[in-house]
Amino acid sequence: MKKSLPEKMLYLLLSIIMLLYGGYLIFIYFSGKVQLLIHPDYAILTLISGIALLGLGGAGFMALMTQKHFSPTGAHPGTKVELLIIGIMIIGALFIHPAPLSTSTALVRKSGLNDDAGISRRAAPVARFIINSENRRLIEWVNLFNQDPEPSQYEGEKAKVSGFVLKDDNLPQNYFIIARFILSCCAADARPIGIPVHFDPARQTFENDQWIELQGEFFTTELDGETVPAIELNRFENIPVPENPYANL
Amino acid sequence: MDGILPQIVQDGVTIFLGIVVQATPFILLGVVLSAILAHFVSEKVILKLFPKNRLGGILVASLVGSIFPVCECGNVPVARRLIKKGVHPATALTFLLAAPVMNPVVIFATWVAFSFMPGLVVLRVLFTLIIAWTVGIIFSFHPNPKELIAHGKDGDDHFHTVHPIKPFAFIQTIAREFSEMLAILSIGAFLATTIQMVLPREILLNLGGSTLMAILAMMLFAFIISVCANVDAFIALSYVNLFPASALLGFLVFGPMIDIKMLTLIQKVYSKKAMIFIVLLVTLLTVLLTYTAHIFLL
Repeated sequence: MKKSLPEKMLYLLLSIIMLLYGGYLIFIYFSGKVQLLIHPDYAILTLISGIALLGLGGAGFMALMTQKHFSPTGAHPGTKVELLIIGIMIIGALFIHPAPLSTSTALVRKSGLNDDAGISRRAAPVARFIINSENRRLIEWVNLFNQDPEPSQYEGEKAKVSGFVLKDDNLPQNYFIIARFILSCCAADARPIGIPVHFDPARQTFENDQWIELQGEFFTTELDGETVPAIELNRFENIPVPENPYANL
Repeated sequence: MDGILPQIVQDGVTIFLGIVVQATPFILLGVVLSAILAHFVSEKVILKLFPKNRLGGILVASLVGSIFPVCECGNVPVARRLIKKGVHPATALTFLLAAPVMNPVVIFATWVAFSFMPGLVVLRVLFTLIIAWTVGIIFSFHPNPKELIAHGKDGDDHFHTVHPIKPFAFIQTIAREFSEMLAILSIGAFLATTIQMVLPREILLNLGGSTLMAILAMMLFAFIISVCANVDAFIALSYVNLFPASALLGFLVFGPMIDIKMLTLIQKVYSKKAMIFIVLLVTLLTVLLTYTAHIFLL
């Protein structure tokens, strides 16, 4: 049965879109960029979806190019508006790559940087048994603070953590937060955790979103009306943005 | 174009893509299930699965979700296919509202997150069922069920099971539905991203002055954040020190049923009038049940 040109063109476009989107999903999986978007537990589903879409798009394309196998249903293949929306999204995604979330988002989403007890509850028992405090990661320190909030018990403990610099207007100028985002599902739910760091502005300057690994010692201080543990900065070095910048377990 | 965009726009792109990429496998699974129902399962079999009597149909619909452990986005094409196969729109609505939570993965994830508050896990399941049943029963009394359904140009209302099976027709059905769902998801993801980028979370937290305001604030948060039910328990957990248990329950019950993403998808299934009533009913019932739980249980 002969198909009208517009309907066949729309189906062709659908097939091409599925091929492009499937290819994009496979690309972000193998390039590691998927880790910027979703929790690692879901990454494999991205790959599977990409392969499935390549298969479906390829099979649909083949069917359309070999007219005798084409099964006209009389059904509408989708509106041009839908195809336009998806087309814009896919072309946009090809040109604008995902990037680690910045301090702009951290400042919009923070609700008390050490208030996160979400994922942390499962990690706290593990963190306690890390004898060498310099082996504790940022999330493990925050977990401990949530379980045992008394700051004086951490005084003198050595810290070696990495994250991005977050300067908060609520803090004095000789403090910044060493922060990371954690997420449960995808970047939409990412929220920041962090620890205040005291430094000497005469000797060092820091910019928002600067990724560093620092070493220091914990002390107790009062910030924004609360008594909290903070790190006295001893040394730091700039580090490249990690492939997975999130602080998930 | 890396590094050229303002940070807030770049973050918005990352968040938007995160929502779309995370939802894609579940939408794909949903449209594949929908296509299987369309091509390989006759109306007779579907209608036998759902008892004709009002209560029986709704009861079965509320439990069917345990067979489809997909994100709520994936349930939308399935619900639409069920309606096309002759299932009453109210029955399909019960499935849509209950399935995201009546799902072994979600129940297990909720348990893992809230094992120290098992009552919350039980109430999440119970309140979801109560709301799904109540809304389903109310809608089942509509004198003209066809008015509940959205009418569009998808044109396969007359599609019947085909024998012998035509593989490329099956692929065409998947392609068509997937593109439709993806386009709608993109709009929902864009709206959710925009609101999240401009609305500081502290504003939501500051809304939670009284228990009732806390419940409403967390429901609003669930509506905006638009994440899948299999992980929302861990997000709710992160607010356990800031909000009462009843507000967390509101987040866990309301979010899987109504959020920005779901609203943009559901408008492909139900009419605008029906959607307004669905949103109002679900909101009222969620507030009523969670506030009652606050007074007597939590």
